[in-house]
Amino acid sequence: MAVYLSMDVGEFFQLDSVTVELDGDEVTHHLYTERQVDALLRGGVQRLYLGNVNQGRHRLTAFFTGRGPSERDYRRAATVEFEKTFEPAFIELAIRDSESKYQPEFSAAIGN
Amino acid sequence: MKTFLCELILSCLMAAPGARPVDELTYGTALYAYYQQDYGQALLDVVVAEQRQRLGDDPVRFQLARGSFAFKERLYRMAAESFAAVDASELDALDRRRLAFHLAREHFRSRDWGALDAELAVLDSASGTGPHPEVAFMQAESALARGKFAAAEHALAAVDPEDDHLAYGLFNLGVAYREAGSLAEARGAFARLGGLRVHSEPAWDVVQRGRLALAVTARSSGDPLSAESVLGSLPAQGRYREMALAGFARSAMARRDHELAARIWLTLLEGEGWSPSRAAAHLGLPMSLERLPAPAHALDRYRDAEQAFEGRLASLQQAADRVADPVWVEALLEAFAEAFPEADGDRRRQRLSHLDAGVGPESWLDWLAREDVHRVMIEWRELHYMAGWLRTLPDTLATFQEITGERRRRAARARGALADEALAGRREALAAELAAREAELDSLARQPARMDAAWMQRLADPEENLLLQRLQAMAARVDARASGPERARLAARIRRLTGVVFWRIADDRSVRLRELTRRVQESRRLLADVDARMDRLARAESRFRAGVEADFTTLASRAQAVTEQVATALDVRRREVRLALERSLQEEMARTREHLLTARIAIARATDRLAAAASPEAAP
Repeated sequence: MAVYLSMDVGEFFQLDSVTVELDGDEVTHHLYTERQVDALLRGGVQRLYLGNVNQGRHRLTAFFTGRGPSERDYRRAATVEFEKTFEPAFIELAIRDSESKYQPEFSAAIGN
Repeated sequence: MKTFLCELILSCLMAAPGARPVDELTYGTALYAYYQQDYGQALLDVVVAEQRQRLGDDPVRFQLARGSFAFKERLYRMAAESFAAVDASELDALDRRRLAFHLAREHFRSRDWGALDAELAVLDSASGTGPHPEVAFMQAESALARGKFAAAEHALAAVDPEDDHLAYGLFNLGVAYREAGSLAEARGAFARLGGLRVHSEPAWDVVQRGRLALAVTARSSGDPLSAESVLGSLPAQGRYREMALAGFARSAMARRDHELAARIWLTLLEGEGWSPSRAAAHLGLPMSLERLPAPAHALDRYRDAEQAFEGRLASLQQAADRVADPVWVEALLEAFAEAFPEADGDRRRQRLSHLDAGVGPESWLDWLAREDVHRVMIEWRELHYMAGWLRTLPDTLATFQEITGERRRRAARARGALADEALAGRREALAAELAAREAELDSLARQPARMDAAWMQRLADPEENLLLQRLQAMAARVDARASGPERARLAARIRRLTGVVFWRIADDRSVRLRELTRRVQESRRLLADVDARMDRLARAESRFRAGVEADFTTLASRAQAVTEQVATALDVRRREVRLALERSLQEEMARTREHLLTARIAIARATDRLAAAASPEAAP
């Protein structure tokens, strides 16, 4: 399975790090440089994790830390449950700005 | 409420839109590497995506990206082939502009101004919001190449003052004006450059060079005061400090302030190592002293200069002898690969000093930093890393081959297990059972409802089946033990109860048939899954042998061919570097001989002057 991270706008959230847990176990942790955050903001997509996972039901949780609105420390999580089959699994973690709420939004979704 | 809960438990199962298709994510991954200037990784991502056919609905952008990334990686032939392979009919307006931009870069690199102008015209006609800074820069450069200064200025006028391209463009414009003899215009371009507020280190370096050039141009125009004012704006430390000091000293001499000039030259000479500015100071100091009231010190300083130039010439000759030795050149290149210029200045100097303490690390860095040499050095470094990687490749391949061999052995064992554990027979039994169920379902669907045990039991749930069995047992007991009216009464009651069960089953018949159909379909899917697994197991071993192991063999033979090509390319780069260094050393030796000659003439002149002053005839 592969886990990707994308970011849109980033006005309400400055990303510092991401931790990914699979079924409660940490599988990867990434601390971002300014250049990496810039690459994400310009439309780049980071392949955050690539690994094998048994077939069956799994739960993936990503924890995002950084600076939120008003420069406050910010920590949020997004979770997705998925069924691993023979086919490769792709999961996209996304950080987007919600203009209506003036807050960042974090999501995790299964790709095809 | 949801937000509150999310914040409370720090976790959200969001009703998010689905992820983008993996092809989109793959393209984004390549961009992620590209934006971090990791062009090799970006190119690799694109090539892998192409190999896996993960190009999505817009394969053209992958072709353009491959060309662009290859260009950035200096793989110019690959870039040109990628762009040439793009089918023009597949391009929309945006793609056409992208392609024009990439082609313009390629033509700019190869200085093909006519072709560059054609691509710039495409970009110009499509631009609605003014040109991209790099496009404007290329327009200016193309105009300068033809001596069209006004067009170059017009193109640069469109560039954002804080963009790095403006700094580079103005510097080149100023240089072109100066070469054309238009000193006033050159001063204008350099003055504008000197006032830019740029943010990157390379652009800031260009701004400082612009200020130095402005000072030199001002002095050439007979305006030493302006020159000094500009030099004063340069940082007190940094790579241009010595040049600025030498510029100050020359301006002071031009204003006949020889005392100030002498002090500045002396400051320059207090530094360590050798540089063009310090070489100028060796001559500048006694020249300034000669014009002071105590010219006797000048002769001593000329003699110091003569000694310094002689020492320098000897060091240069030793360096030239070393450069002729391929082993020493290899060691120099190794030092370059180990301590790359941008990485660690002190380490780099230490390594170079260790190789040759005579001429000093700064001189080596100057020679190695020349554009043609630097290009070859970069190529050599890439090839050197590649050669190192190729050296470790056989071990890596052996490891992978071992892993693949183990997987193949496991596949063979799994295939054997199919036969040993009679899995194939069990699968056949399962298939036969499924076929029987299908036939039964078909017959149930065709038959009308019947109140007999055989029909009812096939559709009954377990509870109903138990009930039917009890009723059958009761009917048998009544037949065996009861008699007369009591028997008829009990039999009628049992039939009534059986009828209740029958009508219940008959009423739900269609629902029960659907449920049975669903179970049969589920069993069919499971059987197909079992078939697929068994098929994979049966063919895995042969696939490993035919696919992966054959790939290893091909890769190993290709690696051997590439290793030979890399070795040849490394030899060529070594020779080019050696020749370039020999040229640099010869030029430096020629300059030093000129300085030495100047110093010796000055010594003779100063000695004559002193002798004349001391002789009786000279006395009044």
